Amino acid sequence: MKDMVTARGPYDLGVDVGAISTKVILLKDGKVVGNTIALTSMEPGKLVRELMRDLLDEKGLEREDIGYIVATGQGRRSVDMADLARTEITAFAKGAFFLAPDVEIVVDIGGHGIRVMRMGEMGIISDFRTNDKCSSGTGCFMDTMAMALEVGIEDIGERSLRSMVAEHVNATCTVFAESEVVSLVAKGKTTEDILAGLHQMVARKIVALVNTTRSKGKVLVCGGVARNTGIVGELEKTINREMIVPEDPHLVGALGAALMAPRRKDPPVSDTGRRAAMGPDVGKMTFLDRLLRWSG
Amino acid sequence: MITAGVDLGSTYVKAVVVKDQERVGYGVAPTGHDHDVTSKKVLGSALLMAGIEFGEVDHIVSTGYGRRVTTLARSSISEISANARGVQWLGSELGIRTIIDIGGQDTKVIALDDDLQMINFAMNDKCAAGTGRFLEVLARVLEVPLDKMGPVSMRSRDPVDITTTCLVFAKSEVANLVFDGHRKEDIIMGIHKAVARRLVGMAKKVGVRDVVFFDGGPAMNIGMVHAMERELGRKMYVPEMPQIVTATGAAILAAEELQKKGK
Repeated sequence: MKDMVTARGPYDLGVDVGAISTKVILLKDGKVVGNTIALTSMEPGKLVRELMRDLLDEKGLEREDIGYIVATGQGRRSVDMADLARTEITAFAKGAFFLAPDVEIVVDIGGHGIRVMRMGEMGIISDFRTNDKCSSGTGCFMDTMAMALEVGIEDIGERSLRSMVAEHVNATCTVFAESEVVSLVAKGKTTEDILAGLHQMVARKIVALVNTTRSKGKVLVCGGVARNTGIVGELEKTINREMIVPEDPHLVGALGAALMAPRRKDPPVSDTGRRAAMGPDVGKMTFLDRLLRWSG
Repeated sequence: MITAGVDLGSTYVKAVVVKDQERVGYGVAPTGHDHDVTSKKVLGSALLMAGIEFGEVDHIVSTGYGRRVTTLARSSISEISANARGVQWLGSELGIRTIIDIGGQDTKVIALDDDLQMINFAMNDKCAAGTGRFLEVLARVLEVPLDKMGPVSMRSRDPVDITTTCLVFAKSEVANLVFDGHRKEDIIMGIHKAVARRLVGMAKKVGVRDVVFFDGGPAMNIGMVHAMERELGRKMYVPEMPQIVTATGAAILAAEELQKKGK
């Protein structure tokens, strides 16, 4: 029998309702025990309920096993069953600090916006920049380009790595870049070279944004776009400082949300916990390691 | 003396034929894929209107974003200088001191001194918000022909507020507004207001002095003019054919170049 005072289940659910996709993570004692992802629908509340159901079924758990549900992301207010809703900034910073406490700058490249957070003592955000006015460099930008090039979004990273000479892309604006891509295709440029050029452009933009923080510290890059090996590679070439990308960069927000469940004690931030949460040797992997891992 | 100006914009190519300081013919056509072919076609129709043979044209100057692509012209000039020259040609009695020019893919604000010489300018070609492209893409989302956007928007009594800046986000916002049952005229006026906010913000950085001159293709849109005047808080001077002011300027500059050479 459960104690009446602590009648909450031992699992916490972190929900990140992003502009493009919704991520759900199941956490127990600071360890990720399951996660799922789906495209954000018109009714995020309903979608999250379905995703939770699937996740619980998969793990053989009941609704009562979940102690807290914490939502984040731009659709967080639509998650009616959430106990708490927190901004993406807070959630990503929390998740990033849990994964790598020594990181000074956290960059989240999301579906509709880019966020740069500067971490202070104890994982408290000391400064942040967001850009949600412009779609350039976001997931939505990459989606548009992949569509113009008729390449699947999951393939663009790998395809760009095959380029020998990147095709320079002038435009920054998503709308103008799309036209530029179409005319580059018409000129007979290869998909690989165009993608590499696009990734260089996005990397330049992100590095410029990171540099506005005037910090020289270690950077953690997360968000869905950080799954693109092409952009990660270009960033590593140009960012000129130590940079890490967690294994599931798109889940960092949901992880941070789950970690904000108001339990009496914070889950331990330990190496073992971190490893269990996001796979082995996060932070120690080089770009080549990740590349090998991702390419199979 | 017969000269021509060809303005190769991102969306439209415009050509003007000038004979002894008078505009005698013009042509306009969508840019298409081949700037060179389109520019020849457009100049051809301008010459046809003027009743002039190609061989009679003494000099051609190109301008605009694709000015270096055409094989027609022997020299080229920036669209900012050509636009300012076009305004000078219209006449100093109009008292124009500020030019706001919306193009298909960029926007320019030009400040003139009392002798109509350019003293400052600002240009946005980095972001589609506040350019003709913004109107063009959203017109397509709304399934309203571009040339009907103005008249339709003038019926609006309660314009909606477009909250996003990026055209990509505005596309979804507009689609949602339609889905939510907002009237098209209210959405379109909201779009015009959003573009006007961006343009006026830019113009204020350069400095706005009366009279404000408004040209470029979107200046043919009555709703856009209306929204601009409300946002600026003053009337603007919109020429009869706002699309061909820059091409006219280029044709006038061609005549001047020729005169200089003749000396």
